[in-house]
Amino acid sequence: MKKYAIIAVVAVVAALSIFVLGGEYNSLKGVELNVQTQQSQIENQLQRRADLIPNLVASVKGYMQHEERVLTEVTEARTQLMNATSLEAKAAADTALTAALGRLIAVSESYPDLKANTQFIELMREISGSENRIAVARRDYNNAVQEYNLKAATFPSNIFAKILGFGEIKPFEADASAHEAPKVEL
Amino acid sequence: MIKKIYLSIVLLIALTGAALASTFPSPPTNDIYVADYASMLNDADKNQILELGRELDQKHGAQIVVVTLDTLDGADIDQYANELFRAWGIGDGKKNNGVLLLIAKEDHKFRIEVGYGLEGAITDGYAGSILDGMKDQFRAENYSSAIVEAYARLTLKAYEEYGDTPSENLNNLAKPDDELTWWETLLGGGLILSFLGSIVYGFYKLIKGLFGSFGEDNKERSTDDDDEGSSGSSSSSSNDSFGGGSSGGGGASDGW
Repeated sequence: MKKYAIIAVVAVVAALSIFVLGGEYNSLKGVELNVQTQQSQIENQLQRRADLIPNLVASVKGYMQHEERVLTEVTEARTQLMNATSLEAKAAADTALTAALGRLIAVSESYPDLKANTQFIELMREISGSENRIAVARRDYNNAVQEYNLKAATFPSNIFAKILGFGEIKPFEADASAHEAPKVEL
Repeated sequence: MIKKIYLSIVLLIALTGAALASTFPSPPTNDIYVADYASMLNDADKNQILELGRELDQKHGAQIVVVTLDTLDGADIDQYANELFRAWGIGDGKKNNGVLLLIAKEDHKFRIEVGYGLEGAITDGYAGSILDGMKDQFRAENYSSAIVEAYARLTLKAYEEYGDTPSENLNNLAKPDDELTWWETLLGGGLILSFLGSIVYGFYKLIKGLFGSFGEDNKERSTDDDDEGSSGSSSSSSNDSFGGGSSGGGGASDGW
């Protein structure tokens, strides 16, 4: 009789721990999936902006022949972004591209014809819209990361996070100052 | 362990802080299409916007909202608009077809924030051009009429998105720019074509008159005049509510 009781207790404990572990796994996985969704959102928006660059360079080229260096910088930063695989590398390339675009915009100030060009105006609006979308996506991602890290670091989830191998995730950090690119006064 | 507890406390405080930092006016529960906190609209224009907004909402579920503030208190307008948009949930929760026109009067800044669902119809470029069109009137402090016009132009685009023809009133309110829009070009082209057509037709009549008939065309005119029930916008109740829509930061910002 005693033997059965022990077996029953062990079975109940085992079943309970599977439930608890399963539940913890699911909730950790849930917040982790959210992080991944937000990450792809950032990548989409980075891609969207990168897609606008060739058009911008093409429309600007005719106006500023003497600014080859600025244009090359933009194109190179774009290539760098397209080739980046890790999110960290993308963040770095994004910062470089934003900075290069900022210089391009600054230079465009001295070309009144360019600034009056409707295609250029339209493209600049699309690009600044794109940058805002990146900023929103980055904020959403970082909020998701914060939620995940909080869950994985606080009791009791932290115990399960350790057992189940949920590590800390780093936020997407682009240099904030680079994102304050000078705006064209249209 | 102590370090972990400490870390979680710090994180908790940080999260609460972030939640507190972004406090928005609570969403209006009726007449949701205008929240004129900075008193920039006169009553007639305000009612006009409410009427346009309600009609669009009832027909297509899209929600276009104007919010005027005295000041952003140093907040970034891009971020503020996005967070306010989401906090209120402008537009349908599934279609995300909301638009927010946010105006900060003292800061001389405005922004059009477009929900995911209307990004195709109201591109960043178009949103920018609407703001551009408001600048002169805003500088002259003719706020009210400029806001109505901008509102009408946004509403017009939403109708286009759903392949619907807006009312004539709306078309008139959304005064076209100086440059030709695509439909003006189309209209102009149409006029020229019909002019040419009438000349050709005149010649045809002339020749027909000279050489007799080529055989009467007995085409039966189909009478498909079944007015598709324009589901009456009869209910003028002001019991509107936000649909839980979201935005990913589409649109444009500018200043005047």
